[in-house]
Amino acid sequence: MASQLPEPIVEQTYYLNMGPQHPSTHGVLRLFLKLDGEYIIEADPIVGYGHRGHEKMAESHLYEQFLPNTSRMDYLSGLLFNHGYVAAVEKMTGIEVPPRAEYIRVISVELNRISSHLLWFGTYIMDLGGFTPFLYAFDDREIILDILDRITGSRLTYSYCRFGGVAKDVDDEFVRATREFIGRLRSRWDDYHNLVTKNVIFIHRTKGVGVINRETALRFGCTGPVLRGAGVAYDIRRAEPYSVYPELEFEIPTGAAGDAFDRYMVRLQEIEQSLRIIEQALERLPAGPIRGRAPRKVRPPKGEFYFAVESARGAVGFYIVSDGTGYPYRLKVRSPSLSNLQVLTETLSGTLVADTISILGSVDIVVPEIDR
Amino acid sequence: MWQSLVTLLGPDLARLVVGLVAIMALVQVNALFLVWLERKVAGHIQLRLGPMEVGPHGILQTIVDGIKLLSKELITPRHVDWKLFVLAPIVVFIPVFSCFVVIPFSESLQIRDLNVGVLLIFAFSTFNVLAILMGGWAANNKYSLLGAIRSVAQSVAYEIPLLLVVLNVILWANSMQMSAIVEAQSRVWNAFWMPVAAVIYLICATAETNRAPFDIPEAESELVAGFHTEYSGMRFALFFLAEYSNMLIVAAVATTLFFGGWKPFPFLDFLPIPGVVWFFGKTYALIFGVIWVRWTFPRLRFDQLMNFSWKIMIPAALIHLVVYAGIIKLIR
Amino acid sequence: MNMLKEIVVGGWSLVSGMLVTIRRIYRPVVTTQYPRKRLEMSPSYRGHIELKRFEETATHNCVACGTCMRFCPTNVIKVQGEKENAHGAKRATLYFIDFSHCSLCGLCVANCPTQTLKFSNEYELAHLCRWEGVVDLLKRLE
Repeated sequence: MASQLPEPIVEQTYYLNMGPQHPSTHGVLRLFLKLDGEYIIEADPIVGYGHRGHEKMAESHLYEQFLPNTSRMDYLSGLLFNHGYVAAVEKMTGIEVPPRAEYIRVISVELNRISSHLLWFGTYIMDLGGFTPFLYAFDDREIILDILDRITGSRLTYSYCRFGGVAKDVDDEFVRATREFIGRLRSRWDDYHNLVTKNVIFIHRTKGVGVINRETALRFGCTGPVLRGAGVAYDIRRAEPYSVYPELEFEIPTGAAGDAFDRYMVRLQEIEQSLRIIEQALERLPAGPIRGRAPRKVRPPKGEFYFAVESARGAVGFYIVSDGTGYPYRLKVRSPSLSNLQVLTETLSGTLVADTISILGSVDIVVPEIDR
Repeated sequence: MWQSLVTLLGPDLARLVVGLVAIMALVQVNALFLVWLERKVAGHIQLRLGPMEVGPHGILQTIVDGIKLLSKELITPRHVDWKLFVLAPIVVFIPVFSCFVVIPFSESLQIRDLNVGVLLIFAFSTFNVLAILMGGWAANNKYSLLGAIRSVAQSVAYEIPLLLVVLNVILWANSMQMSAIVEAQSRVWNAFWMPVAAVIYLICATAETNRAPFDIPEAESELVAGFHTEYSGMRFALFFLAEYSNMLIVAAVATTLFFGGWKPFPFLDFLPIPGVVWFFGKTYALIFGVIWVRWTFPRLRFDQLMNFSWKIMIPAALIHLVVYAGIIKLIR
Repeated sequence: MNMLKEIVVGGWSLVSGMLVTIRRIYRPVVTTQYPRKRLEMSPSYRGHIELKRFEETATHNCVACGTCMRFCPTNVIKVQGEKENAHGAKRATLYFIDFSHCSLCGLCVANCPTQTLKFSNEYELAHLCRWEGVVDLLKRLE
């Protein structure tokens, strides 16, 4: 913490820009650092380099037409954002979703969560200097992408959920491929743990680094693995249940100390829990239609509505203000990375510059989601 | 041809000249081969193929890369210290040629068998540090300087355990002459009965060449590139090639000191394989190990790197020296 | 003693990490050398849209209603049609898409009243000039 450092002589401090173009900040994040030698006194994240105006675009598009935009906000959890948006509008309008569609949504959403965590795992170790786990994680992630490609048609920016269900049905090939993938990923845990988790260099670079304790996390409104790493077992899937999650059994992994290693372990355990969810959902997949009745142009009633789902990075909220027409009056997206990023102003002060990369990577931000 | 050279220069000098020419050829071919080997090994560890386009399985890739680097403009920024800037890539190559003079490639293939061979090698390898410091200082850029200073601190810290461990070998062989050290391993290689020494030597060697988990000066030193950020074109190529040549020297020295030099396995000496082949086989096996380590582990943070050297490596090397001095005294 | 145990455990973790990588070296690679070997796309892959050829009429079924044009979020589609006679349906005479703005949302395919649109399997869509992104779907159908 900053209070433990002696007061710096003013001439010794200098300003450094970990600029928008940097190999290790995931996206165009600018960190404006005030340094005293090697120690950071103040860290100021400056966002906005990737602002594309999604929320403004929502005001001039119909509800259906906005669906591709949701995928592109956080491109790593495209299906999760799709699901959140579609569920928000469905709840507002009162559209019923058949159970088969709900289960398909849950399976594809959990697959997307696993692929996002695998990518985070790869890029985190790559930032720390180990170049190979990145490719091992991508090798596994390719299989998820192929599975999702077969049903949705896209690999990264899906527009799969529709109002009332999903766009396309799944077949037996999907079920078989997913089951095979679950087995394959479970057999990889040994490799990952031997190569990374037990590695003494990795442990030294992440244990005790970037401690975000319970009070800080709650104060800044962090959600997701940042909050769960700090010891608070808060998960939207359990706290405000939606879809078919109440019927599925899974645990919420938490960490004790809130350092980078705990967040890393929480994410790996989340992958395991997602695999459990997928297994249960595959067994219970009912037959039936995949789309409920929904009007061609959805017109939610007048009013405001907020709906949150749990994405790979935290709680994603969609706040829709509708004025009765087919166009939303205002659509605001609560992005988890923005709240998680703000913790950095407090966490980074007092640490070494060399630890910045480790802390930044462990918080797992996706800057396009912050900037929208 | 050889006779005319001998009559012209005298036998010693002729041997030196021919040897140096051969060494230059060796260093170039080695650099070509090593860059290709590293990219291929890195590719296969990462489940991909590495260079495949140029030449069969990408063998000619390094030559093409060299041509590309040759054709780049040598940018000299305005505010650099011009003399040091130009001199640094040249100085980094000096130890390479000097150290090769004393390495025994086989029983008779040694350019000059000085009786302080080991001392020469370690004296010249500190030029590496000087060249890096020159490069970082000349670039007139606070990040280059920071990278260079870190590299110097790292090199100095890891040289101490290196030398302490080599002392064991010298005690056993009772001389600093490289061929005598190889002779002293005729029954059992040093690595088998001093395994800790071999391990310490290999770790310090990778730190000396700025590779693997210790590559803070070389890879992105968190903020910008290291001490060679301001160098472009052939100057950068010289730094790059010097790194691979240093790897070869360090591996060759490790082979000579710990792994028996050009001697075959003690129970395999009936095979008609010449000593040179054994020597290069062992050297390249060690280099393969260094490459393997690089692509497996993440990087150490700088203060952890220094802690590791001062608090673990040096006490270990000292204790090892004392213990083995006692053991050698008992044996003799 | 504690430090010694740490060193031993740490050293063993490094060695087991190295064993993981060495085992991968001799496994076959998972990459495809792209220009030499083409990839097979899955049948539901979303390339740009194209008109479906129906078996009964051996041609497309587009009635130039303009639904796809109105639903497209980025105004990618341009359709024009004319009636051949006063009592028949319209038929499309012009159908252009500007793929460089298409977000592959599928609204056009989903809302077409005659189900005449579908996604193609084209994945090599990089072009050097902006106008090469414009695809004439009627020409493509032939």
